[in-house]
Amino acid sequence: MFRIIAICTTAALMGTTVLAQEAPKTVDQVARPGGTLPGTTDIALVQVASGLLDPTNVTNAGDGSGRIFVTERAGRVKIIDKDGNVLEEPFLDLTAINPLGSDVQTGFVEQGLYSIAFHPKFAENGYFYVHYASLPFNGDGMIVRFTVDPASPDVVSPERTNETAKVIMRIEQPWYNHNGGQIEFGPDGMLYIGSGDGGWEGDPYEAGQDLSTPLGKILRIDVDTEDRPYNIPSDNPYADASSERLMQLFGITEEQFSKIKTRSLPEIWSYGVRNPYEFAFDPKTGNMFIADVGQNHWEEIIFEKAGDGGHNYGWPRMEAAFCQPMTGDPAESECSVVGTLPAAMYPHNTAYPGAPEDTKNAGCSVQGFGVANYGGMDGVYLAGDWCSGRVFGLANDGQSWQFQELIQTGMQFTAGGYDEDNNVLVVNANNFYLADQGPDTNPPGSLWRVMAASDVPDGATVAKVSK
Amino acid sequence: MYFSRYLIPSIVAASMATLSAGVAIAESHTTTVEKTGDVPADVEFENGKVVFRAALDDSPLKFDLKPDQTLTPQVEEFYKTGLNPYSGDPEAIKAGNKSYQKLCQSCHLKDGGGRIGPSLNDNKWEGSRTHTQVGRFEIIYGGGAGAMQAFGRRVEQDEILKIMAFIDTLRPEK
Ligand code: HEC
Repeated sequence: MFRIIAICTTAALMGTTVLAQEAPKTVDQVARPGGTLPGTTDIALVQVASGLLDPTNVTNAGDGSGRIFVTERAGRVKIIDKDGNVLEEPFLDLTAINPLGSDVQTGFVEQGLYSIAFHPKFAENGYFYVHYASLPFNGDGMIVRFTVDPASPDVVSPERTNETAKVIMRIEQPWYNHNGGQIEFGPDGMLYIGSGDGGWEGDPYEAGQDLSTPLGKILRIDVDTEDRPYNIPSDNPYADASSERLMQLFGITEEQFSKIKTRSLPEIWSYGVRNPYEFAFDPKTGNMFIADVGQNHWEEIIFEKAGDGGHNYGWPRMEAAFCQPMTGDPAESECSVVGTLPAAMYPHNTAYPGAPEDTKNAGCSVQGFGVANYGGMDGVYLAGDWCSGRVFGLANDGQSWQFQELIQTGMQFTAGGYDEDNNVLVVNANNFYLADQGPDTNPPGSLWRVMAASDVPDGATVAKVSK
Repeated sequence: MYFSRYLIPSIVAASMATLSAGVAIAESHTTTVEKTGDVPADVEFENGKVVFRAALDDSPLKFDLKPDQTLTPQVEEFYKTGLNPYSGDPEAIKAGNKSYQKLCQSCHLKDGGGRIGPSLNDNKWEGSRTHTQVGRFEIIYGGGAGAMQAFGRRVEQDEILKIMAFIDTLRPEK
């Protein structure tokens, strides 16, 4: 709190336009690798558990049990207990609930069980939610609620799974890639859903800018209702934009007209994202970070102030801070920014078509972890790259966004999350496009905890990092 | 160009599979043996064998990725010389091409132009050791950063040497 006041005061004194903890206003305010984070930058990944099969995400139940829940792509959820043991029997097994076979489509490496989220009152109601690619629905994204039997807290049997299933939402997926994935309750108790643009490349549906489709969006719904799948939070930006009304032509201001969007979906929270496979809330401030996977040239991390919906993050007009499609060196072409800029971005090996190869600071697919507020880190959003194994940190130093590479590892990160103490957790898998041997046969992945290097306990297994 | 015709029978050397150069290093002095021929000066030898290191952090490379691996004479030869016996061998290059198209092209592209992984068809190596056959073997067998997985988990070392022979043909200057 003190920090925030201090920042505001400085900004006011300087009369500057660069307000801390806001999305950049200009392209040169978007942070790139090479910055300097305030606080600790010497981090290590400490192994918590191994032997996980294509782990795709991780979270906790917030019920004081200390359990960590890891989603495995095939459709299972594994529990890692307080002592780091992986319980043998899965917490949930979606491969076993349908007599005709698995309920989960894993045919393409981006498909499978994406994530699990526990209701804020899970300890009382036993509700948890999963998002997965459905096999019976040809890869459509299913968001389903199940209810734990208090007598069997660590295993939801197939019968129990079927009995308690409540389908919240089905998101039609035209293609097998860019399915989004993350679902998570915000500090406001609403369920946020990361929904990809539907796939192929270049957003053939123009989904990102189309308010009539749930694709290419962050969605926000209120699941606290029993009579229907969910309610629309009244403060969603388009909650009423498409409601039926009589037409009035006169006496209406420009701004009022602009709020009438007869085809917009009320579930939309923000739009113009490509594949928000991962996003996270800062446990301290409630601010949101979205790791939006880029196409061929730039990866981006979006900062969104807590509760600040309605933003257009640009896709497919923009890739990170550049106009899309890129046809050459952006420095040599005109581009008017569409929408809100990301807080940070980093390039692929080729930063634009025809650019010389440069593997320094580069990657190919950003996978968000979470915000660290411990070990000397203060509001540092951590994200890893699926290709280069780099871990980056993003934070605001009170003046501007700083983005810094912290370590480079030999791992392919898939996602991150928190344990009950808000330590940032990370999972890595060993699956990749062409040699995917199937979610149960790829070499297993692991679960890691991000720590300040000085806090690593003796004897811990630490991820190898590049010299 | 280095061609070999092996007359010795195939040896399945289980003990070789656990060869760990690093342990030896810790116990004795490492000497960098200058050799004539194609072996770059920065390939280290120890007790007549190449010292292999992990591409990521230079730690000793452990050959334990596949529990029951078969070491062909070509692999044994490579351990001793640091030179790929399959270099320039048309049969091996053909086989290597096939494996490359299956395992590698998703990231390095068909022609080695590079995308997720760096280009393999220019005259530049990104890694500190990948300019040598030994360095290339190290990163393919034991993995590098991020998506460059340890292919020693998936294929035999002999196949890796064949893939390397193929990769060599992608470069303008071999
Ligand atoms: C999923 C993507 C991916 C696949 C598949 C892949 N690589 Fe790589 N490769 C990479 C990345 C990323 C790097 C950079 C690693 C580093 O910096 O340590 C790399 C680096 C390399 C290098 C070192 C290049 C240099 O300039 O130093 C070689 C050689 C290589 N790969 C060969 C192969 C071969 C052979 C295969 C197939 C058996 C393969 N790769 C499969 C992603 C991949």
